[in-house]
Amino acid sequence: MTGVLGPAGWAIPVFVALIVTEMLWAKGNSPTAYEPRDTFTSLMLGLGSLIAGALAAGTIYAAATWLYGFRIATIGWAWWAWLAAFVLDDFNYYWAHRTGHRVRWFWASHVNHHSSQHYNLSTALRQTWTGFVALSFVFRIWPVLLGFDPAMLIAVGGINLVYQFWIHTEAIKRLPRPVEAIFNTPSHHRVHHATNPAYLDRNYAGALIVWDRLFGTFQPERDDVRPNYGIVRQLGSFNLLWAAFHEWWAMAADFLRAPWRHKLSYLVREPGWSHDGSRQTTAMIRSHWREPDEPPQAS
Amino acid sequence: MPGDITAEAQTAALELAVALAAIIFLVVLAMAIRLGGDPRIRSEDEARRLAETSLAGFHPVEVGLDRAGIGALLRDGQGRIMLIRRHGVHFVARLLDGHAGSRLNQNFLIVASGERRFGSITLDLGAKAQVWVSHLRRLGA
Repeated sequence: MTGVLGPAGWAIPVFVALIVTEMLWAKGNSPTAYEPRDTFTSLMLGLGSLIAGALAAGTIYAAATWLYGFRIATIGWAWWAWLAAFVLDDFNYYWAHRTGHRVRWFWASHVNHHSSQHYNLSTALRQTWTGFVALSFVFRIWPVLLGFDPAMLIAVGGINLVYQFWIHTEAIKRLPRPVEAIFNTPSHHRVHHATNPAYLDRNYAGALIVWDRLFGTFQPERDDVRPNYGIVRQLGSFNLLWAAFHEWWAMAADFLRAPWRHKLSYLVREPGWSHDGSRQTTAMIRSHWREPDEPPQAS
Repeated sequence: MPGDITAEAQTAALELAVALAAIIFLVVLAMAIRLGGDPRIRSEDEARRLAETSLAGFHPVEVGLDRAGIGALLRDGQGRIMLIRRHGVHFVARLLDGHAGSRLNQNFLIVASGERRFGSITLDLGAKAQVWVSHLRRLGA
């Protein structure tokens, strides 16, 4: 499968097999880990994302190739170049992802990955249809200016995406300490998908959790705080199109209604921001919810 | 070449058909092995916990719990009213901003969220239904 679905098409049989395995685990351990309507919405969002990605890939590749013409060096295809490309791309993913949560324009594209109240392997495939429109790719293609081949960057980006599939599960609790120290794991990513105040806007990592540790956004999963998954204002709908576009719709409505001097803020400020303070940002939620014994949070 | 384009289109159509079949298979499997559930709010305390989890700073002082536990209305000290209803195996909440669309039918109160996709819900609140109508009216239209 390398046509419209691209290289990700090869991973589909593995994804299906792992989802079946997790469903059988859920049957015996946690039947509410899946809900068929939610699963359908998530998987259809995944399929739509593959199609949208295939349609945009040519343009993104052309842009990267054009930029490659202005490179300062030619790095080539040595083994270490692959490793360097992967680490640099993962670094870029961290910042793209962090921006995706902190700037509403990018959040409008990313939110549908979070809008399920479930956390299972089908949630991993619940991907955006509008990443290209949001221009999220600009975070990832600049290393061609250093001399990384565009094809290599696209390949390591694909590997990163496939890596993140298996961490969307409650079936795996915690991995050995060295793994948890370096890599993004199911435990770390459960925190990322949770709406609990202690967990909000934490653990943006793709493959390597070291970026969160380095930039002050790391939050370990706490045994006393069971994650509540989803978004702060839960979607409350299984409608596929609504799941794909609801935040774009809401942002456009806010933009049109806002006084002129606040219009831009509704696009570039953090989700939950409002010019009259009538909504809640992450910081406001944290201030309401902070437990007396809760450890200080990184900002 | 037209032939190449046709072949690519056929490959793309086949891929999409296979992916769609896989999706249907997984959803049918989830239904067949009865994943999911029938969640209920079992107590006023649970309703309070759901409300506090749903909106930071919302601390209910009064709870109207549906007799079957499919939803609840909660009021906080500021007079704000929250509607909680089921969504799959979870619950979702909305602050109500008016009573438009809400109707009383004996012990049953039909509560409209004012949000088309969130919809409305019929709650069996027993004798408390009248009280909650009054609370909702205070929100205005």
